[in-house]
Amino acid sequence: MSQRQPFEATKTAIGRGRYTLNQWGGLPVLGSVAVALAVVIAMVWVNRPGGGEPVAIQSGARTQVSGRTQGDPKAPVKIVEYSDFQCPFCQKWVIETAHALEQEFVESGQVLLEYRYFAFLGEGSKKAAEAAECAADQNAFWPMHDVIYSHQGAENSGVYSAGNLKKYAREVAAKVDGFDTGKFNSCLDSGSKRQIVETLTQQASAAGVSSTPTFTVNGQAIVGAQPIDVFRAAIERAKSGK
Amino acid sequence: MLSLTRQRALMLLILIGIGVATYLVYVALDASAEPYCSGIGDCHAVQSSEYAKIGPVPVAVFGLLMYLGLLVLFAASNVGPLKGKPLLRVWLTVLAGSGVLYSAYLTYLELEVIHAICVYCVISASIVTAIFALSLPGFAAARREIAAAAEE
Repeated sequence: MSQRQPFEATKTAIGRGRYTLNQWGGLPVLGSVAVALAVVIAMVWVNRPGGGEPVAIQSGARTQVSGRTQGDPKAPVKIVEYSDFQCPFCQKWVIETAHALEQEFVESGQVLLEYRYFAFLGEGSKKAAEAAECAADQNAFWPMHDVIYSHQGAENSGVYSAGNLKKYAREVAAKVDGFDTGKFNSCLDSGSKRQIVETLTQQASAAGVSSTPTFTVNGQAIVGAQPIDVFRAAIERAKSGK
Repeated sequence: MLSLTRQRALMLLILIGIGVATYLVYVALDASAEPYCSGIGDCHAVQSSEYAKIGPVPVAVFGLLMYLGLLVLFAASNVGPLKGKPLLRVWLTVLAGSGVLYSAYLTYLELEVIHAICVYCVISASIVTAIFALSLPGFAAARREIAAAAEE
């Protein structure tokens, strides 16, 4: 059944400069291959890691930043936020409440806000926290914090793969003068921040944190993505020493 | 023409592929179904990842459609009015090749992104790769037939 192209005919075709696409089966074969490749590429593109649109996260002036803290170190109230970059309610709080808290209480010097990792939702949580810690080395924890939360996707889905985190670092570099992506990438690849992420997570666990987000306002716990009113009341209580 | 042994192997692999893909579709569509992993890999992590669907459609459905397409092409090129048409063999290889490429991408996701392996997905990837390899001689012959017809 197979009708092998005679060698002589092929040789003649080449000799005449007529070794055209038809020799490969022409449109029926090459067209089929092209269509199939296009379909596969489209399916890969639609399902690529980190392909979702980032959500908008507002950020304030953040004038007094040191590592994972922002605000006056001598502020009367200290809020510690225990959070996991993969936790949807942590993202919800960042979107709905964090900016108001920063504007009303941190920028006015009433509150010192510290972010601590409680990376308990898996590898993506740890890797994202390491990235934030690497950015903190360049005093860019908060911009990286915003970018990481803006890209949050399904847990351990690869949204926070090393490759994507390096991509997000370029977004930070576009916002922060002097941010060195090469230094950031080396830091992330070295795994040097894994220890501090795990230590802070263990410390949080030992302190009684069991879900995220959890906050302490001068030691008093607030659990969940609570609205600004709850923080306003807690800050007032803390200032009055109750 | 494909040798009888190769024909039988192709037929068998397509049927096994349909079986595996049907099971994966069942697991994907029935939320209460826990994939039976027999201790190898983590099917649940893979099946519940965001990559298990393209839009609203589970990837497993595309896999099943591919195997059904292979069955139709294989059957049509062996029996019925289109028997022996070379383009059917071309399409069989092209469809299987697409399956190989997409399976390779899914395996990459499992290893590098999701960090979990779904054993049925690996079995399916192996089956479609074997189907692709077995279909290559038929593809080469069909391509020559089409090229010869075009030259006439």
